[in-house]
Amino acid sequence: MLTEFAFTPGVFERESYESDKVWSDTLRALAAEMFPRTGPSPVVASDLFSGSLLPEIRKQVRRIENDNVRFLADGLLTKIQQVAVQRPGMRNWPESDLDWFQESLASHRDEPIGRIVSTRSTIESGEISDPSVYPVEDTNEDKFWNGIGMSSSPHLIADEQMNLLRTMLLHADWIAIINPYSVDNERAFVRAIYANATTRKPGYDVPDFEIHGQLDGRFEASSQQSNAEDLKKSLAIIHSIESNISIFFWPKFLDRYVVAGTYTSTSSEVKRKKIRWGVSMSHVARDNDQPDVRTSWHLMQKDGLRHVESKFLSAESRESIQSIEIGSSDGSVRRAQRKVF
Amino acid sequence: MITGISIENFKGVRDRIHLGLRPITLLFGANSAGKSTVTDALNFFESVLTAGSATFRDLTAAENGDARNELSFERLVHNHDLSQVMRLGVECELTQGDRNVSVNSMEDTASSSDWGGPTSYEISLPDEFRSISIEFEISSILDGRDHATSRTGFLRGFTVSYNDEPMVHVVDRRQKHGHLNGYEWTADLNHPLLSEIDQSGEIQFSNIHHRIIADDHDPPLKDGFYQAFSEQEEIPSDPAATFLNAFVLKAFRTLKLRLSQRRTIGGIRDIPHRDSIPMPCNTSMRWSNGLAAWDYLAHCDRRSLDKVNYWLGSERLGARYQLKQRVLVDFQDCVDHVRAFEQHEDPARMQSHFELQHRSERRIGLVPEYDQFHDESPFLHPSEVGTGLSQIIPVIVACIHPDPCFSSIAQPDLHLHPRLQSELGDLFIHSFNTDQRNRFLLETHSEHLILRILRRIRETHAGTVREELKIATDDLAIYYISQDKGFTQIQMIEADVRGEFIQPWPDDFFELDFYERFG
Repeated sequence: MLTEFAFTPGVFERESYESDKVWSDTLRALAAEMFPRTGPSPVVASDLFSGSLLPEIRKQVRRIENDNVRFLADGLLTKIQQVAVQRPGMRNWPESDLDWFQESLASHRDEPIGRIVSTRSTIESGEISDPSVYPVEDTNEDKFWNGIGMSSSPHLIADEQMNLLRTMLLHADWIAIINPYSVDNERAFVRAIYANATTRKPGYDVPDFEIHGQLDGRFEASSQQSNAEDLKKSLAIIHSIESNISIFFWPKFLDRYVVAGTYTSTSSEVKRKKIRWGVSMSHVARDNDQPDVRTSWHLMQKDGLRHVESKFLSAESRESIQSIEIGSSDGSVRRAQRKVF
Repeated sequence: MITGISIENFKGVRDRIHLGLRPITLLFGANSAGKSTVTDALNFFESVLTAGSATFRDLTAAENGDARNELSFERLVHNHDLSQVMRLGVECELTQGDRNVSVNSMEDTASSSDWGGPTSYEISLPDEFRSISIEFEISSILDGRDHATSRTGFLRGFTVSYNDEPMVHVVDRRQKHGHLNGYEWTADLNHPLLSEIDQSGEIQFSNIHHRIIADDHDPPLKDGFYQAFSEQEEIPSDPAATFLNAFVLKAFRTLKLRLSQRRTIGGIRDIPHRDSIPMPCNTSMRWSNGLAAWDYLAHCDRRSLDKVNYWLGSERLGARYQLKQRVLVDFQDCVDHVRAFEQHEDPARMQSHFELQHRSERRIGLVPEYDQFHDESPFLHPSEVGTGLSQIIPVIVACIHPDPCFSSIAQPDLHLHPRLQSELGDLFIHSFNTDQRNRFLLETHSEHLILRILRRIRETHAGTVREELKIATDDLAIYYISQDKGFTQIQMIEADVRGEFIQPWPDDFFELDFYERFG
């Protein structure tokens, strides 16, 4: 599903290709696979060294002499910047393509990058063998794109499912788990996501969490509150780092989503959630599932994300939600909310 | 300025929508998605407010003498369904000058002062009351069995709100009971404004429910409610009712003033005819086809002309032409007046010289920028330069006009080169940012226009842009308008300080370039 790419600046240099035509064809192939017109992009792009890589590549692109290639490279880079995620710097300031390659490897060892794409000469100079490293000409081959796509059919195994979500969980400032049974019999999945998302290396902030569950008519509100408290306590036990967790209860719903995004702000310094990624899920792994059974997951398109945002995340949708306060183990007050029927 | 509009059951809009209007509000959407519905709703609202008429005459058509575009309630109500109630609301901000409310009351002689004359109250609205709004309810006339008996719209009620909180709701009882019985209102006594006055102890609002303020009033439909609240109306004797009446009147007059101050520039601007004489005053109708801009340019002072030429010039739009005024006078008149000057012998002729300007004809034309200071440079009629130039000039004039106002402009980017479309973004920012504080409602398809505005937001946050081009995220509202199964849908898209959209853009508008490039 969502896969992280890191390019080195050499990918945008003339010397890396036999001819301008090969270069253009490579850029076209990359654009077609990374940004399909029929659906959401299945990639994110590493902006290494705290967001310094892509501006460096932009400088490189501006120097391309062939107008047609520069036109394509500029367009591709603009799209890449739209799916960029920042990674903290690992080494000294990279001066050369090899330095950027080494930087990407160091970052990859910290938190894996799905595809590191560089030039063949840079890779050979690096003298490092890693299955995630590819020379740019390999991007024209089908095997390079294996496992990268808008859909996936994972087994009902928590580890496998977490691996599919890992890129999203790593780079999100906030994560919303929307699952009717998130505080009932699918809370193991919630715990797994929480554990994965909060296990981050230094330089990566811990995300905030929203857990959306269903207020089941079988239970009294007080039972749900008790479930929510149990869940929250169990999440807090996983790690000593405690992120902000909000729990929301809604009337009956059927959807299972994990959506995530970043924080941004307006001029009046209002912190706003910006939704970036989402996965809709038919089923999620539970403790007693048969591990050989598969389910289907899909990256969400823009209209799906907007739907989730307006239905579950927007201030308007929460206007009629009644708050329930949940005391946490550390004595602070956490807020859970319940949709008023 | 006008700060919001709400629409329900109007043209393609079925469910109620509310658009908050900011200094720059952009309406995006495909052709026929319903972008013009917002401007049409404003025009229709004004028509009802000023004339009590639930009929809307398209301004452009009216200027051209085409009465066929007079749209009735039946044509405007959603789905042409006469059983629907159309609701249109407009909100405007209260300026300091709007805060005084005059309350004139004829007190009951039995219980008041010796002379029993009129008593005046003058109150000032507290600063925390920042906006007022009116929402009209318009329906076709119903008989007692709720059957439509007319295809004409009828103003059956309205709500006046202060600070977005409904204060007074007025209904026409003819609608409720099928017979003429006048108007009836209900006040929300918990409204902060009424509570404040109530707590002063001077006025008691306890018995104000269901007070009829216009018994046996039988105006023709076109007179509607506005007449009921006009100054000529009989003044209620109850002091509390008098206050409410004053607040309602205040809302009507303030909104009427604001709407009269706005300019609506249509999607296709006319080029003045070669033989036409510029009119000395601007009317809203002549703004709709852009001719008011040419009128203004022919009569404006040098400073205003320089402002327009600055935007046309190479530093900004790079139109390669500059505007120039010419005053045409009769040759023999000139000769006579020169002689009179030389001889100082005829005071009457001296006097008539000062009238010469009045009798002269003024013309506005264009000269090539490179040759603008040369007396022999060709003086070109607007039809002799590119179409884009003639289309953009009314937009520039609306932006630099000395009277600040709310301008709604359809396709300001019409016929413009992409680079000029970007510059338009700066023009609008500059216009609201300088002393004029103009506001704009823009229907557009221009990616370049919005990208420039987003860039200025980014630069404003980074502190790298000049003062007059600064724009904050809260100064911009973007609405994406689309059609879904015949219904107009509106989604707001916000920008963050990085000049990026917070919500995903609903369609591939900003990706077309990419897919064309790589297709």
